[in-house]
Amino acid sequence: MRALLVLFPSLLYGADGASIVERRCLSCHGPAVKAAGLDLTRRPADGRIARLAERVAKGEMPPAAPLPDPEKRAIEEWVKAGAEWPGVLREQRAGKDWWSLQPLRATGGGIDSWVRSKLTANGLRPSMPADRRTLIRRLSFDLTGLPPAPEEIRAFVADDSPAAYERLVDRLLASPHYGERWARHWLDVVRFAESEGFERDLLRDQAWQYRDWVVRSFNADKPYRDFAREQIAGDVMAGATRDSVVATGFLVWGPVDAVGLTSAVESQRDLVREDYLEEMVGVVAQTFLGLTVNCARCHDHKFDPIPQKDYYRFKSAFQAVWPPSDGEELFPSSRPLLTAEEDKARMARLAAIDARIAAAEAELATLQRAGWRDSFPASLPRPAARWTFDTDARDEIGSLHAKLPAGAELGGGRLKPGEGKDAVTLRTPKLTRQIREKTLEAWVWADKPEKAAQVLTIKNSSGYRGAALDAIQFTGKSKRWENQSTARFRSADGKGAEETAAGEMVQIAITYSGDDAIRIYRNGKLYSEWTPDIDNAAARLQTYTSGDAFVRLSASKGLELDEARLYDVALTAEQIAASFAAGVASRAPAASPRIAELERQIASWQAERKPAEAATTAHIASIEPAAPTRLLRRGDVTQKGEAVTPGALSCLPLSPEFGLAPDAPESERRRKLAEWVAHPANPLFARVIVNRVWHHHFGAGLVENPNDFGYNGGEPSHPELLDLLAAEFIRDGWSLKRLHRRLVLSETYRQASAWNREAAAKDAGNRLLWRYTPRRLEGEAVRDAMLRASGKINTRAGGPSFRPFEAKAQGSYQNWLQKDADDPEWHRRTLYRMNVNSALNPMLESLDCPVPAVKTPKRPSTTTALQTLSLMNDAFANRQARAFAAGAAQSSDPVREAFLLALGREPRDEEREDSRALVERHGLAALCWGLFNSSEFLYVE
Amino acid sequence: MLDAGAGFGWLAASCVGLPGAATARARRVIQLFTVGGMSHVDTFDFKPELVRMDGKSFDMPTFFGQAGNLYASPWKFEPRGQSGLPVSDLLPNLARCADRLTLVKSVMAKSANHMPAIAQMNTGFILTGFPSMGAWVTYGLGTENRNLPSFVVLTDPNGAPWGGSVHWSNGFLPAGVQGTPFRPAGDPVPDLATPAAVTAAEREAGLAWLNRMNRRYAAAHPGDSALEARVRSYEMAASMQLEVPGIADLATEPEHTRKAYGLDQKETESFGRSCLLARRLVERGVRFVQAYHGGSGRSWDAHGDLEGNHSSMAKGYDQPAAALIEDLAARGLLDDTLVMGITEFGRTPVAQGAGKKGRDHHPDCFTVWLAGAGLKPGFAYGASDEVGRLPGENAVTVHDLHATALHLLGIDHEKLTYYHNGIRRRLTDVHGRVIQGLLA
Repeated sequence: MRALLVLFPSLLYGADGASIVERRCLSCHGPAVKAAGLDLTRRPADGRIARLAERVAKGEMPPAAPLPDPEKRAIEEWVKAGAEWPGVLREQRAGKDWWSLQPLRATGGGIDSWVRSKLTANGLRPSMPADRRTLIRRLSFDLTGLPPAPEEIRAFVADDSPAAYERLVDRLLASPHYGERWARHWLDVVRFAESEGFERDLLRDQAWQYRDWVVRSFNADKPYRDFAREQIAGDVMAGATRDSVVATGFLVWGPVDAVGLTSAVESQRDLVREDYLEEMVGVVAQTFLGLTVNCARCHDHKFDPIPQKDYYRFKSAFQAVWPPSDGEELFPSSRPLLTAEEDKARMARLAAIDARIAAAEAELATLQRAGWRDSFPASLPRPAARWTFDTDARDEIGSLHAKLPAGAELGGGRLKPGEGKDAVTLRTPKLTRQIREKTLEAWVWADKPEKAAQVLTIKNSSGYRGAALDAIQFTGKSKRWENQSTARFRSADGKGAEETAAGEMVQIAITYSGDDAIRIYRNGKLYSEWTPDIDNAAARLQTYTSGDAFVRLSASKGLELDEARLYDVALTAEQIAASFAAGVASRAPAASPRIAELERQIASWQAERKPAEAATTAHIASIEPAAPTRLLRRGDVTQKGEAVTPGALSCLPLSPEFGLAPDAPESERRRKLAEWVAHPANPLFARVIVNRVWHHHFGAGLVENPNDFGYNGGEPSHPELLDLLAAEFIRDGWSLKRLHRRLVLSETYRQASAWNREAAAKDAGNRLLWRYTPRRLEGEAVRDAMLRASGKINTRAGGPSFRPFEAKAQGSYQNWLQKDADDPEWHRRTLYRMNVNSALNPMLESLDCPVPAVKTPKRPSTTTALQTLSLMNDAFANRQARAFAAGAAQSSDPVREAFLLALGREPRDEEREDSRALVERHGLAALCWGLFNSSEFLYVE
Repeated sequence: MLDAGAGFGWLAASCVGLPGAATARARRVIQLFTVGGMSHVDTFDFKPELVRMDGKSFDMPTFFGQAGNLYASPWKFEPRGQSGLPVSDLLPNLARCADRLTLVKSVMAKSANHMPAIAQMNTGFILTGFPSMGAWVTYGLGTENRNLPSFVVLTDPNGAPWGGSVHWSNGFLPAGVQGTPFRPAGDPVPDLATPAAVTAAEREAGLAWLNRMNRRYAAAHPGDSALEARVRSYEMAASMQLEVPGIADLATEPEHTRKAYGLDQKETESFGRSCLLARRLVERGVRFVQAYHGGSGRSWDAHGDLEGNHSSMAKGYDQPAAALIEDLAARGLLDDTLVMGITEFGRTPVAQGAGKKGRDHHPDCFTVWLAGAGLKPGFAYGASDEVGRLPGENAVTVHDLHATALHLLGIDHEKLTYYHNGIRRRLTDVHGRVIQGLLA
């Protein structure tokens, strides 16, 4: 391994003088630039070589970054030894003449003829055709990610018709599982993640809509051109539909640093934002163009002909794209996606439910508050929610009922921490309506409090804007009351008097009014006031959204909570004073069966409201007005340069000009970019997707790095074949299903996977395709195949993901912890597992399933001891093995049945005997466990 | 060509790795990571000027935007040991080790925000998705003990650092190089134990059957090295099942050792366990151990009450950390082990908010301590300005720290690369230089 490290870099780069010149000098002293008239591709006169050596030794050349000492020494020695120029040096980077940037060449022939001619030229021959049993297992996993059922294998093996294979291909392509299988490949590329990443890792509850859109698109064979355009600009295209808007989720699956985006330091916010946009540019360009445009943020691309300016022109299209707060409105007035009738019907459905809820809530409030109005001045509006803690933590006005957690106690009408606890915190369900202007009012039994506490808090739970939080806070050190907000800009330093209450009731109220002012009152009197910096959006009055925000109630030693109220208006000073004067009016709510009945009804109507509500939101690109994009010197947010016009890349054979001004509307910029990317004259667009599909069918792409068609990605093994497939793909109307068909019907795909020493000696990596490359199944396919064999698989397609994890609170944050349970919902295909960044599944992870936030165009395939331990001992795998055994035991020949289900074949004689012996002594489950651990189960030939 | 490592052959290659290069001074790394941001001006960076100007106003931008006045450290500093390095009373045990420490007092991080800053200290990047240093080192050097994971992570019972497993992720490197978290209770490694419902005899017979099955399959498919590797991996898994539980059993340590690490006291017990386990792991050939002190539930993040927070955190951290250094030294392991006392950022020289006694996040200049292989002991490199706000001399980036650590391991940070999505990626991105000034 040591040798690997030391050897490979020098193999890669070469340590001799000529290769250092090649690598370090030619960008300026090559045929293109010829700085100082010097072209070093051919050997110059000796005098110039001596001068070169001298300037390099002094560190004058290269001008920006002198060479490291070992390289300086290598140059010196090489010049001393006569400076041998091995022919013509070539610049180690791509120019505009790089193969992938050229228009598609018209080539004839077919897959097999191109593969064969390469094989013949290298003295190789293709392998024999694979047998039918191998073929159906290979094809089933390839197209659907699932093994064939034993009866499907039998029928296919028995079918002598020459058209049998073609029929099988068509059947599998028509299967709904086809879309599920290929969606997983696509989700890897677009770094689909169902959580935000970074420290909060908030869930993206609506992300599944995009996943379903991908599955549907593949199953419906949506033309790839539309598939691509919708993901870049589906919300602003002519003829936008609900589906095409959902597709824009593609842009925003990258990780979101919610805390950084709301930092108090402007340069920090800008940095986080710029990194976010770089990630977005990266995913668009790598996914659809196979170019690492993101590398040109700080300087011209080091290897490909992408000037820094092109990066900024490209980025201009995304200048206004932000991550959504979870549940971005799909139907703002600017985006009329529903017909007027549809929208009317939807609103009517919601309105009917809302009317029922409102009536029930009104009745409930009357019942619960019977009498309390007497003790409240008429001038006081009705709170939106009120907790008195007389008998429980229920909301006596609305439906924000909290439950008492372990360790919380009620006593004397107050919430307090139980024995041995310092503090307790209760959390209500989500708000059922939006709150902006508001008043937080708390009646606190204060007894020489010492520790900091947030007594009453309102908080959004999701989205980067979810940073919003407002709270009545007591600070431990200064012993003062203050307003506390996560976005900090609204936090007021306590200017009021130190709290000295020793065993007395204190009223604290904070009002948040429409003019952004925040006022704190203590016992009816103004305590401190604060107007935040209104130039800063995050500092202004925040919106707490329905279905997302919640309230937190907290009591601690020395600060027991007697009553808390939330108003949806900012009370006036007079109203606060009146409320104080009226004193604490705790009334035990009348308990009645009618109250329970009403509450049950409200809960069920709220659930009923969900589908109609969900139809209006999705996790999609959130668009803000776009400023012109400015070039950043060295990519640094503090070094802004000129404004650039929106445009595309200048290295491709189609015009990069959009004819737009720097301040063009963002919708125009994105629409034009989408058209440019998916233009038939853009040779990369078709080449890249054709290569991805090839990669998954054959185990390696014709271009080995599916996300990099630039210099570093290398050249294709079969360039003419790649262009042929790309051209046919375009002619076929961008149909992926036809492309699959073409590939899997080829003889090259259908050949056997048997190894052969002579061929391997010439082409160990099988780049020339002398056999079918055997492969280990992906983690998802392994898990799905276990579920198939156990018979537990739940094939329900689409909808919200199942969540095999639980939240574990850690201070003010929570982590997601992976968990396991024997639950039919969790027996759905692995595609439907909620894929969050912080709750990875050890077995899937060990089988190389990627971290969701990482763009993964090709997965590695590793074999490790941890992977083996997972397959051996993982609770899920063992449970499936037992269920598998229970099912196979029903058969008249359980050993045979188990082999058929797991491996798709009958046991051979020696295996049969060996297995019988195992089963006799230790039961069928031992055999089924063994089959799940067998290489044959995990590999496709 | 290194990419071949991502394929079938990685496991086999990783097992034979030994740092053999003449330049290697360290064979292994232990990182003690104080999560939340340990204050430099209250621990290792003595600022007399801050004492003099205590309470004076001072203009600087801060993360929470509530810069208060300059705030002198409530702890006293004294020159320690032969070297005279000033260490504050907050860390009396580490102060005792001053002559073994190498301080870097001018480190700069990029982010003022916990998660990205922790990510940068681990991966060099403030975005997620990049391999952690432990993964790079494992990828480069492989392991010395195939029965144990090469990169082990010990988290604090108060929770993982914000962001969790992304901090010890393999990123785009092969999955086998990712950090393996040892759990504080139960089996240290997931899926280590045979499920309770399976008897030993059943598992043994099953493994024997499986071995025959997999051997036949590998023999019928020559040329596919992964199939042979799979057969071997069951032997390795079995060895791991034998070795791991024993290594995590600290009861076998003598009483005086347990006491030295503070296993007998409530405050020091949990980090004491991590430090002692770290020593046991490196002793048995684990290449890279990372022990976190503090996590998302409780950390060094002293916004409101510096004295309360840092006193309590230091109480749990100081004794075990010092015990580890002394124990490694006594066993001769410190000669070829690099110990890194890191944190994601320091804390502001000003208080957070008027009249307050807390400090805000401060990535612009902070201190990291190192000890062990190939370093000048009892030495401080770099310095902050008069109040500890910005580097005063010899500014050091996180990339420089990484480059230096790799250098000590015998690795040229510019050559440890992995091709991913168009770029030959490095731990140090396109930056980093070896800090020659602190090498012995």
